[in-house]
Amino acid sequence: MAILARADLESLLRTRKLDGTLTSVRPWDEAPAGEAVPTGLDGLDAQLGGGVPRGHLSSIAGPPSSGRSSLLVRLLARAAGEGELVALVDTRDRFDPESAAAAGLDLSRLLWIRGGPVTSADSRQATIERQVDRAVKALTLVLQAGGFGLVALDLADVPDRIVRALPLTTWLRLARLVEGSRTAGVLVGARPIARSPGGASIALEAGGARWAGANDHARVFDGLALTPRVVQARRAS
Amino acid sequence: VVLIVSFKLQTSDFKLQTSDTIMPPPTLFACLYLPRAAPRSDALAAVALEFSSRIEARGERLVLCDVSGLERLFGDAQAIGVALGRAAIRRGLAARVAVAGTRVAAWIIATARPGLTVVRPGAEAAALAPLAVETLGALGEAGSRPDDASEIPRGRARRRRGPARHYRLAPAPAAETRGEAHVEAGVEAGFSRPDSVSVLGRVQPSAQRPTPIPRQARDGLSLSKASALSDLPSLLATLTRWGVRTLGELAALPPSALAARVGTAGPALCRLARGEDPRPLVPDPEPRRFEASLDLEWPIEALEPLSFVLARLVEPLSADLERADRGAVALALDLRLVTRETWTRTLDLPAPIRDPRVLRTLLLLDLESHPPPAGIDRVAIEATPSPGRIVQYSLIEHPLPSPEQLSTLMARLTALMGEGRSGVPALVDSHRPGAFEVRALGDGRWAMGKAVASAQRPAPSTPNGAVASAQRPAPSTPNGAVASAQRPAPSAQCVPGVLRRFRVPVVATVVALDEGRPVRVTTGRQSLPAGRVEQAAGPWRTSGEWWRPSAWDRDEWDVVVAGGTVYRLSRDRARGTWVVEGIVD
Repeated sequence: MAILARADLESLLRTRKLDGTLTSVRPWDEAPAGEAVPTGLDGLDAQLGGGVPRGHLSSIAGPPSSGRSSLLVRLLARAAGEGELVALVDTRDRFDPESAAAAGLDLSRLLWIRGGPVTSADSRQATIERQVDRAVKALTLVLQAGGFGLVALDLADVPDRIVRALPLTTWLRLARLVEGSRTAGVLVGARPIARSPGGASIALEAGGARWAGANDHARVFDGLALTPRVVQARRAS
Repeated sequence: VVLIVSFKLQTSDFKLQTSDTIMPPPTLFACLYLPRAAPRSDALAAVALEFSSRIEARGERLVLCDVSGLERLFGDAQAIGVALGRAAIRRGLAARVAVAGTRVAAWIIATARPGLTVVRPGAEAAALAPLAVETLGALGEAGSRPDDASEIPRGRARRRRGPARHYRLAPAPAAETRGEAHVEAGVEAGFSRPDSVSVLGRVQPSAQRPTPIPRQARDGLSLSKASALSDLPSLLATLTRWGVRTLGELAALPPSALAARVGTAGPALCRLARGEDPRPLVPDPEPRRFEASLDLEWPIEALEPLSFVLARLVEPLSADLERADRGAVALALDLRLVTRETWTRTLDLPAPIRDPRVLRTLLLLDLESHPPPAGIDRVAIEATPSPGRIVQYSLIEHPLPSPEQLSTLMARLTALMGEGRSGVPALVDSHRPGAFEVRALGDGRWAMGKAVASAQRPAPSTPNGAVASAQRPAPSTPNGAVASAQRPAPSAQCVPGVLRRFRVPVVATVVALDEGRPVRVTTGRQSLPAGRVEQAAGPWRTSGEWWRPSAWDRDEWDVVVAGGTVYRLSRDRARGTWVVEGIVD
């Protein structure tokens, strides 16, 4: 009886077009093959069930040097390599095209939206709040335009209290914009920010720097070893 | 049956009546020819359009126009020619003018004779007769059309035995040089003195040879090699070798005998030598301007009321573009302000667009970024038309946003984030660390396929993120061993680090050993971890642009501090200061 009442309520909300908080895709539905952007890391893709799901908002979180930017660039590179357009909303203007190109990202298929410069007249917090506000608006514009394979919002260097001050409806609205499309939405932050019910949350840990070389004089930075922990909705077996 | 018979009778009666009473209207054609290139590509056509809307422009240097019926305005054919020549002089053009009853006759004579030449209707064959047979080469050189070529089909001239060894165009006559000198000096005597006007059909001048049209000045008007007229010079050379010197001699040849020798091109040449038109004049379509303007009763100072005005102007403009199967590739918006100044904005669109909502949105977004300084009195929009866009969708490749969507998105992002804050990043040809540029979207690269995109991918780089080994070699150990040779293969979960670069490097306090190796890093920011350096790799020395004030000379280090944060440090060798370039993440 309770299940029937809930179905009736959802049907009524959809009829009245008040179903903004409902999802048309059930979180336990298995994503069809090809409906995910793979990371290229076998272990992580196996945990994610193929990659970051399309049509959902996912999250990558971790402290500095945990590999969150490297993972994001890998996702962007994979989507761009498939001939898709990708977009990066760079809130604090931290993206380095040189190292991203070295990591395999085809820059010609990337729309890079840089956060505004910091002016000395504004306080630092006010500047960052304005940058975050504009970044969310820019992400909304990109998602409304459509046609992008992967859209990412980089909030990694934004203080946690500013991210937490954003209204919860912000993420619901973004998830709603991504839902039902072929776009994979990714939020990058120091802590898990938000994800849609069908999205994945990837938590990374620092301390994975790898060095090559036997002694101090021969040492070369070799990369970052990722230690991901994936949190996502249970999928049907 | 009775009804049908009566209808036939009525039709035959009508035919009898019309053939007896209606006379064909007399035709008169003028040809304007410039021996030299025009300062503007459409200058000669503009002269002809002053007299007639039925013009055929054959490139920048030759225009044919139908001047039939202008006798009531200017007088006889000679007066029309004089008026044409004076109009050309007013525009600074030293044009030759020929007026004749047929298009071909006017064309040939204008290219062969300087100044003004008038041929009385019906005397075209006699006027052309003394001209050299090479004159017909002008038809093949100065902008012939394929339908002209069809009049001279390919014949046996293709079976010629060899090249025309003795074929040579005659030099220009001295009189031509004198006539042009008059025109260039701005003296209208060339079109005002009656003795300088040649009225053929009454006066039989000596044989004239044409002025060769320089190959460089043909303006792309020559036909393709597959065309029949491409064989015209060799055909004319053959005729010259046979002793046919003038157009009169060519016209007098029996067509059947000529066809037997050179093919069906022979009779067609005979008709051209007599000045007969192979086809009627096909007028060029009149150039159309897509513009709209509106004078306002009260000045507008806000963008919201202006959006309604723009919608009122853009919607009929888009309808006109759609009717003409055109799209706008550029929009010019002229706003006349109350200060009597004009605020002009020009939008270059990435693709032909005629959607009124998109065009209005783009104009409004541009005005949001560049608002006019005062109230607006008058709004005028002009669209630069271009043929419509044909899109072939693919079932294999991923669908990309349309140019309309992208241009609107970029305009909105520019209004939100500022000029130059969004676009496509690109590496620049520089060794400066972190050098890049942001290119504007809309150069068509996003329409390319996967293969093109992968071809533009840069070369792989060294592990610390610097661009390819050609620019920066792989770091080597002091004892000469290349470090990368000792590097173990990364595991499946290991990724090359990507730098998060501070646009303004953070000043750091670094305690370093004598050899320069950092052992402790602190910064003024609480958000950046500080402490003892656990691992360090470097230095990598880079320097460049020593001849400029922006020269750099520094050592770079990759260090990891307590907590696992990996910094990219650099030390200015001249000043000895340390900065944090970014965090490897």
